[in-house]
Amino acid sequence: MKPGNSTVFVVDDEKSVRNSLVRLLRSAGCQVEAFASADAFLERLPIDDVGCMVLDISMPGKSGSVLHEQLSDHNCSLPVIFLTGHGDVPMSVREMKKGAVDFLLKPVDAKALLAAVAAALGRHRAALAKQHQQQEVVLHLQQLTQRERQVLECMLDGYMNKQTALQMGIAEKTVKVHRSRVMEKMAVHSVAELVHRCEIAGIHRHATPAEMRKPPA
Amino acid sequence: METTETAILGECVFIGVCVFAALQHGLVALQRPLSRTHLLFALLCLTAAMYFLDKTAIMRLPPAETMVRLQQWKTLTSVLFFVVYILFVAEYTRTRPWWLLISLGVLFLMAFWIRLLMPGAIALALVFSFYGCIRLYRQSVQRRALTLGVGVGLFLFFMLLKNAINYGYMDFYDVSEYGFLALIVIMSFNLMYELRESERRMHVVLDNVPAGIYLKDSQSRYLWANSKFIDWFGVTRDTITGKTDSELAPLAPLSIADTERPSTDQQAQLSEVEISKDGETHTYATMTVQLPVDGEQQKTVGVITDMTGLRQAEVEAIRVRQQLWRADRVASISTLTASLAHELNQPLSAILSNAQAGLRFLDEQSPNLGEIKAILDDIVRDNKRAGGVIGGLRNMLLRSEPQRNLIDLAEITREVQKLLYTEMLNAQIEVNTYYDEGCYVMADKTLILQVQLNLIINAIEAMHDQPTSQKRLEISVVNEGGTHRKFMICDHGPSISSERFNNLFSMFASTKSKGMGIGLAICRSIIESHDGKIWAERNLGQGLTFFFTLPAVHKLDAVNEHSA
Repeated sequence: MKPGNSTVFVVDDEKSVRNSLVRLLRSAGCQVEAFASADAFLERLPIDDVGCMVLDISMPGKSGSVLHEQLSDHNCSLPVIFLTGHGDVPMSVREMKKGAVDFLLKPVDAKALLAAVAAALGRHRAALAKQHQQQEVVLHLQQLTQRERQVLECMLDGYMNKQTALQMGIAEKTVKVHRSRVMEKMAVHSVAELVHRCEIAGIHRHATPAEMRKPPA
Repeated sequence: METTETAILGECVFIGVCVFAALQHGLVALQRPLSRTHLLFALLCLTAAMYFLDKTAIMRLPPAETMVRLQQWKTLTSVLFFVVYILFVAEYTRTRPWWLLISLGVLFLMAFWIRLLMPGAIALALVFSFYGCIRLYRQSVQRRALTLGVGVGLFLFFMLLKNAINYGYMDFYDVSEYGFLALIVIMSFNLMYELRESERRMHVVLDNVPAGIYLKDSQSRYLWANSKFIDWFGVTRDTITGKTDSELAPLAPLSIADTERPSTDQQAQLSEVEISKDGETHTYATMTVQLPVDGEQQKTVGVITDMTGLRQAEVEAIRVRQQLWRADRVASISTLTASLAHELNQPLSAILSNAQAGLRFLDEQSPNLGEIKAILDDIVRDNKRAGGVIGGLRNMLLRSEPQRNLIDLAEITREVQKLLYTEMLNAQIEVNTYYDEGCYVMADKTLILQVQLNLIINAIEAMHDQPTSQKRLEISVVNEGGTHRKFMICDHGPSISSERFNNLFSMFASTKSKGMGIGLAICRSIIESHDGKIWAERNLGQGLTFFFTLPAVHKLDAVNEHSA
């Protein structure tokens, strides 16, 4: 496992269990932060770094599954590994559907826990990386003017310059200028790269963008 | 005057018979102050004797003046005879139509002056007698009815005979006395027969009751004992009569009766003793009563009952009750599996993680020994905790012989709460607790734990369908004025009907879908076996509050007692 600057957040109300988990994770070289209750953890937010949560399901006050549900409200994307003493299949299915990474039964074997933590960290790291890229693209997109945005969409739809010019009711030469500006602002060197970037940001080629087909008045 | 002499002699025999019967029944009546039949019969005989005496005197033909008085006396005695006769018949046949009795009495008294009324009065008296006979016969007291019927019939027969002679239909001397005599003799025989019969019956009863009965004098010497007593202790009537228990000791294990304490009042004294006989232990209970002083002797009656079967049944009942308690514990435990799994899982989980962390630390180049020691300390602690859970479980499941120890009620309540931790967590119940310090009681820890477990599980189940905001449970253990320790659990479940409320502690009164409805009944039997009380009250708002109290013990006292 490559720890890097990743942190494991342990939430368990039972002190002895919490301490033993912290020790085990530390022995594997993780950075660990431990909390005795769901609320204590919520106060620690926001967390921007790579990390994952090891969460006890049954706790007094806010239970583990309630905390899991509330994480998205607090803009926390940490993947969750559940620990429980008496889990059953329906419970695990329910939690997995809600997006838990893993559902482990106590007493948990070190290998299983560490593997789950490693997987969760990897997943979070990837997710964060993707999120960064997304944010970058969105930033680039925001720099585009209205016209450039329209030209970009036509490009994504695979229109030739001529078609684009016709569609937008402007000169082909102007389209070319817009195109080069788009490429420049989006920091890409090829149309393929542009399409890939836009896909990351969630902008896809329109099948038939109705408002674009309309010849301008 | 040969015939007169013979008649006088005959009259004397009559008088003798009557006096004898009067004495005999008079004595019986004295011995039995409650038996009015004998008293009335003695009086009847006495009046008859007086009548005959009078008649004899008349037969001797005294001077005219005396004759008139004697005639008056004769009428008076015959009137008295009939009055007593009517009372006797009323008593004997247990027929007491008071208006008839009073009017008959008045009629006879009037007949003293108006002699014409006499035959009518006698006839009415006879009708009354037959009426009484028929009633007796219907009540299946045939023997009495028949004797009286025959007696009265003979009396009537001789009366009619006499009248027939008087009116000249027959020529014979006065035979009315034979009527009196026949009645008296027959009744006397029957009464004595009944007496003997009732005594015989009494003996049959005394010898056959399932109890040893004896009578002792003021020096505790045996006067009499019934057959059961003789059988049980292997003695004979002859060997025990006139002996005390200590004199008999080498003969038979009679020490039982020595435990009695003579008391001055007539209150029954109870004592119980165990005697080994034929290799078996028999339990006997003796109840002695001082009889009212009879003459100069103060006598004591003792009744000995064989309690062996009863004691065995009691022991069996206790065993069954304890089995029931245990079954309930097992049932409670099965509803607690989640909690118990949690209680065991937590330390096991901590131990595993700690141990594996320790192994990983040891793999490092220079292991941190301080860390390793801390890990091992934690492992030891968690292991003990798991052991404690298993120990408690074993107590709940296996042990069935209750033993009382000095325990802190609050401490036990904390333990139960810990046991139910997961249960409450899953049911989303908020618990508020209040514990007084030093709530010591002498009790069986497991049983008290069971009662609290039952009450808390009930409360949790009662609130199952309530909105979460109402799922509150208040548990407290308080010192009740130093004399009692009180446990209190207040839930906010739904209200229940009066009928259910009144039957809360009855067996099989459950309305819960699961469970047999014996939980609260068992709680009550456990608490009552600890000399405590358990009850429930309705809350002002919603739900019920259950209480139980146990007698308080002060720690210092208990420790002193223990060391002593």
